[in-house]
Amino acid sequence: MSSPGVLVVVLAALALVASLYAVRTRYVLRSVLSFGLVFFVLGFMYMALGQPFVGLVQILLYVGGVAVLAVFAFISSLNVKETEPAMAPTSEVGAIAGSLTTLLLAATFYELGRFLPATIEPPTDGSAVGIGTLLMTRHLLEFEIISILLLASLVASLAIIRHGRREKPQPAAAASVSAETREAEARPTAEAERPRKKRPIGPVRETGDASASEASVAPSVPQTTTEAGEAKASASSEAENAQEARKSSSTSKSRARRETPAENAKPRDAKKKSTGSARGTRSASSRGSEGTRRSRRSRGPESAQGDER
Amino acid sequence: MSRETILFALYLSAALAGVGVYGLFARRNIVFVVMSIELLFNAAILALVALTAAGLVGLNGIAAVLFFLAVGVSEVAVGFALAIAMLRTRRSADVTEFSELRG
Repeated sequence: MSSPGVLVVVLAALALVASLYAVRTRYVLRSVLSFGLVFFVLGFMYMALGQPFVGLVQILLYVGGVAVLAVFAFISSLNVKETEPAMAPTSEVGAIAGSLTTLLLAATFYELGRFLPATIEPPTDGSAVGIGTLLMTRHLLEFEIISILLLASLVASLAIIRHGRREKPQPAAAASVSAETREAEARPTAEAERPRKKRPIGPVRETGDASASEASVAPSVPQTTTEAGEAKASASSEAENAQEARKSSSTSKSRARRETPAENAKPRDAKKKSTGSARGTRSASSRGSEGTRRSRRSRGPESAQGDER
Repeated sequence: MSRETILFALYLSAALAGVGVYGLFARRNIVFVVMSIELLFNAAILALVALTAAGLVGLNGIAAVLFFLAVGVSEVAVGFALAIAMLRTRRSADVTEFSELRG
């Protein structure tokens, strides 16, 4: 009866001690790093068992991926209040269940050991060639299913994380009707102030140019009646702006500023079309003002949600 | 490869599975829980590798090991996404607080 070999014994002891420490310690980061050590040691264990390719994949995936992911989760949990007793109330149950699992599995493996021959020829040299061929021929269906599973888990984890993020910063965007109406009431007042600031410094360009740009926008985009009327209103207000500003001043700085609203008009109109008629009538009062950066920003996520709905 | 090496690896996998089950029950923090599940996965993979090295399942064991690895890693990705969602919504990592289905 030969011994298992010093390397295997040392690796096994290291893995066992590190896993026990990882489960028992109350510090998350130490636990995560100990788990990383366990996975690392297990990778070497696979190599000692004659499967170097699996060992490499293990180290690559678990130490390089899972442990780093766990550290990331730890970092994001830094500002969370500490759970005061680190152990759950089911700790004793866990100890009993764990030892039962170990005993049961060990008994099973002991029985299994009777069927093992004394010396064993490993079925493969552990190179990637045979495994790759096997994956691509005999286990092709499983291979494809696994790839779909990976895609699904990727999308699922992204969806879970995004859902949690969207809820927190803007509770008004929770897609309730009351929140929408509240926002609609709030916006005209907020944007009514903005043009007042803007008008004096505003337009220097020739009026013909501004009206021409408006005219080029208006027929190209088929609009609902409210939108068309409202576009006319904005055009006339712009004409007033232009006259006022010609009276006041004509610096090159303000000229540069004048250009931005005229450019904004086109994408905004296109966006109006996509968001649908309900929203068009809702924010009709606010549309007379120019497309300031704020209104564009606040309209962006809304339109995306409108598409989702 | 001797028979004792295989058996030793199998016993180690049994012990690791026991530690994983213990961690699954005993800890409150979700990071510990997810990593304990990973430990269980790794115990299963170790048993499979040992059985492959014993020549009991042929080369198919290695293919199964690779599939297990992929499943385990995708599971941990979703698990940590859940952990981060928990931390964001409830500001808590305690799994014993999450005991109701709604909200």
